[in-house]
Amino acid sequence: MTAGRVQEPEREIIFMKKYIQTSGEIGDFSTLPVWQKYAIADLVYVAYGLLIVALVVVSYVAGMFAWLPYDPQQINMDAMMAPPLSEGYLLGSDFMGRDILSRLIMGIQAYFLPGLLAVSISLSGGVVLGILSGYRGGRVETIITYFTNLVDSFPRLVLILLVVAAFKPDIYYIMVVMGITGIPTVATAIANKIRFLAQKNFIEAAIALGLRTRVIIVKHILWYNCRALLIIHATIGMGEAILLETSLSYLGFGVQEPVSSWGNMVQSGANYFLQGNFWPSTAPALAIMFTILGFNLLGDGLNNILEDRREK
Amino acid sequence: MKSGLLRINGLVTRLHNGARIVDDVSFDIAPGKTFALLGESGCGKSMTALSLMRLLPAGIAIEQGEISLNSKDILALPEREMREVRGGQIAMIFQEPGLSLNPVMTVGEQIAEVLALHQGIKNSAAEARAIGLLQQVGIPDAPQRLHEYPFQLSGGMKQRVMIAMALAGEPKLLIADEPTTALDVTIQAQVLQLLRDTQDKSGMAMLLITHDLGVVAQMAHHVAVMYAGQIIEQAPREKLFAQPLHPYTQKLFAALPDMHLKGQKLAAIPGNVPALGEAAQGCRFAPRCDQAWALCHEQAPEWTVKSDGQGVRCHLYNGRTETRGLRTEGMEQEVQNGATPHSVPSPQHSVLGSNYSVLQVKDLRVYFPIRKGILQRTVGHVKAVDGVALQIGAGRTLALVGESGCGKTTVGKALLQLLKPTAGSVNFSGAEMTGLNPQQLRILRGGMQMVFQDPYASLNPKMRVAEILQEGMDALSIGLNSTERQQRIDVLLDQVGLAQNAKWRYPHEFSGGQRQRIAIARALAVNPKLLICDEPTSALDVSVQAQILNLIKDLQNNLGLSYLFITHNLAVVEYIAHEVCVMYLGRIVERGLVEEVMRNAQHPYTRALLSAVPRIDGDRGEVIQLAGEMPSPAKPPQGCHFHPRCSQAMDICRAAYPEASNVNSTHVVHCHLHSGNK
Repeated sequence: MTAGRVQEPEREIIFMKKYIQTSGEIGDFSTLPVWQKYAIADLVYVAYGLLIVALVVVSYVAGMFAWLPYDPQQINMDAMMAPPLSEGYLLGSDFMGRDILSRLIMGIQAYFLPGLLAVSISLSGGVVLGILSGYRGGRVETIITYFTNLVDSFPRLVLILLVVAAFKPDIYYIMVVMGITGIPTVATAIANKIRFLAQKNFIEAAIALGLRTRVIIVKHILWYNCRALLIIHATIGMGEAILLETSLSYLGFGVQEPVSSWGNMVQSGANYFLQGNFWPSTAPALAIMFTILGFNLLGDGLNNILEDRREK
Repeated sequence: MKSGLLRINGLVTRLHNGARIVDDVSFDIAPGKTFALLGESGCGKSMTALSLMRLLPAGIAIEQGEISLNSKDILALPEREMREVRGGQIAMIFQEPGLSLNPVMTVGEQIAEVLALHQGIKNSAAEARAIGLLQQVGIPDAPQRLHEYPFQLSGGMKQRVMIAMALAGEPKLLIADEPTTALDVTIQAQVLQLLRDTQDKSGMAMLLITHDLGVVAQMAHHVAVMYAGQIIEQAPREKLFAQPLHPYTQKLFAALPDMHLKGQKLAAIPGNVPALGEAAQGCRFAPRCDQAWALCHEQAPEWTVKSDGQGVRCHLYNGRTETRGLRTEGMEQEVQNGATPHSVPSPQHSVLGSNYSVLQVKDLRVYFPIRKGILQRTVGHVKAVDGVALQIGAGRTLALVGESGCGKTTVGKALLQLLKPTAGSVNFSGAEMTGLNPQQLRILRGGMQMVFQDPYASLNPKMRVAEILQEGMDALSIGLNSTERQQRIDVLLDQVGLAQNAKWRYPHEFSGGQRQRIAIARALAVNPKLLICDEPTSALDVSVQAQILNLIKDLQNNLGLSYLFITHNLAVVEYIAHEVCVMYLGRIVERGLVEEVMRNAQHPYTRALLSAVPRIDGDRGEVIQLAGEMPSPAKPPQGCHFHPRCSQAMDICRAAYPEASNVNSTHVVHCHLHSGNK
């Protein structure tokens, strides 16, 4: 596709042929049951990841119909610092007697929509810029490279603090910054993938068959060959967003009390940790860990499954 | 055979999961002789070579057997002493010279390293010796080349450097693993000649690993044919070529495309080469063998040595023929005939002779700009295609022949407008293809489709076969509705010889030959008149190549397709083409009917090309050695592009590009030698 490449494909092919063994009959991959098609570990990763995603749904549904054990912001001076498994409080209560389980469940809402916003900004921006740079090439590519380098050269935290200082400490403003700073990674990955695919003959074959450029980009490139890449960037981005939201809420820049976020829960509980009341901060800290792990494993597993990467 | 330099006895090499990838291999190599291991991909020939160097990749190990070099047991040597053997006693050259040389070391440093290690020669003495070695392998300006890096050398030169490095240790045995597979025929001829000369001078033995019967015919004294990890036949070269015994060997010969087989079907071996280490009960070739009977599937044949020393692993020869019952008689008959390609009536003449031309190309040019500097100013052009004219009649096959880098693939892509031609006209069944807007082009392109060389890159790995086939029909609205299209997919699969259960599978479940069939079906889906086949068989094994060539011929006979067949393989051209164009450095130097060009070549380049093809009759003939290699299309030589390599160049060749001269009405050549007879 790019000009000036004097074609010399024969050599590569012959070399490759030596290492790719042709098998006898038509393979039976398609007819295998799921658990034989893919590695068990990948399926477990995906199952665990989906469980974490399911908790998001639980949080919104429970919040909407008030199915929570307690109102998460309800102060109860009679039950301050109730230990876990005490009557009525499965995970205990905090220094104001608020139910930790209810606050944990509502804390999911603190990261989810902001995280989704950040991820959608970096994915959509990255896809558009990546396609322009990879498929068009030339001058467009140069300009996009300059832009991504520019964004990359600003420390993310400094940008966030600038935004907080200029506007107000709102989690959505912060997530917009996070989304924009995430664009370069996605754009580069997509552009590289397109450059790699452009050397493959099936794109040329699709052009020869009379497919529209739009169809080739959306179907052959994005849908079939970039979805694994996008999924892994989305899940990793979500993990990063959770970490950022909880860190900032811990520092007091993010979600403000009394609305619960896992970050400000850890912060408010930390004062009582050394007094032996470990649960108000430990429970949200564990929630952060297992959730980020869940999103990362979900991306890993889906990536391996979609790319047919199997351990031999 | 007692005097053997290298003796291998009962070698078994296993994959970690127990699969035998080299199974009970035994052979001897005599000093000064060339022993060829012949086989298709995945038959274990490279693994045999790596076993005797003890360089097997992780997870693969020698399980049993003896390997002795000069009566010394190699397998018992400690690793320290083994390092002395490698390079010192046994040297190896590989298929891909570009990957075998260290890219950040100069040629001189790499040779000096071997010299220091195995000869104890260092510093200026090593430099002098290295220059001597480079001269020995025919590299001009050796003292300068010594300080160059591998990327400054061409493929042929790199392979020469590899040979020089191998010779530096003065080995007793040289293992050459497909030494010329990655090279063009004219360069291949040079390298084979060099290997023969070196062997004559130094008296070393050679283990030649190849899949090419022509190379074996030219080089080997003794041949072993490998199939699925076993040696199935072993004989002196003359005997094997005169009378191959094993059905597989016979088929290999019969599967080679050739002029004499024109209009006949090639004897393709059904099925595919078994994967490395696939377990089998009985004879491993039995599933693909048309002479197999019950015993072949149940019991593995023993190694049988005939009185004249020709050994074979086949039930046909081990005296158990009585078990074959009634079929015996017919089988003997067939064995004696060796490989008879079953001839088929050729209805192709009905489509021949029509003068209606599907494609007419005039003065096609494709220039790639060379840009330099920050402003990316164009400083010159690579003239990949420089004024090509061709014409293809309905139902005819035009072959475009040339070495790598001559621009033949670029022509194919420029015809389809996948690359925008710089100038020229492409007239496809009455419509001009150049200068159209994308929308008009989209519709027109359907009539012209392309089949690519690499079956692994030409199918979208994430799409099922049915989706791949339906896509083109959807885009060009062929067939009324999806049911009609689904029916058409069934028909297409049937046409290219794939089972219906292929429909819902992914490309990675198919072998190379099967993928090539899918690619052909995808092209056929939009009812093209012309197929551009860009080296469709060069990534395939010989036996599978024959299947695809047969398919391509059948489709032409049944559907009246025209082909532009782009290839470097002259044997395939002879077999499949009606007309030939020979390309050199972006221009067509000779064109004519296939008989005219192949039998009565006029251009010195065509003649050199034809003489360089190794023939299986072992008749070396006179190979016209071409000096040097193809120049860069960025700086073509003044005058006739070919004159720097031409032995018959005259003064006028350096001054002016020769005009077309007609040998007869169909045979045209661009050469000053013929410019008299206009």
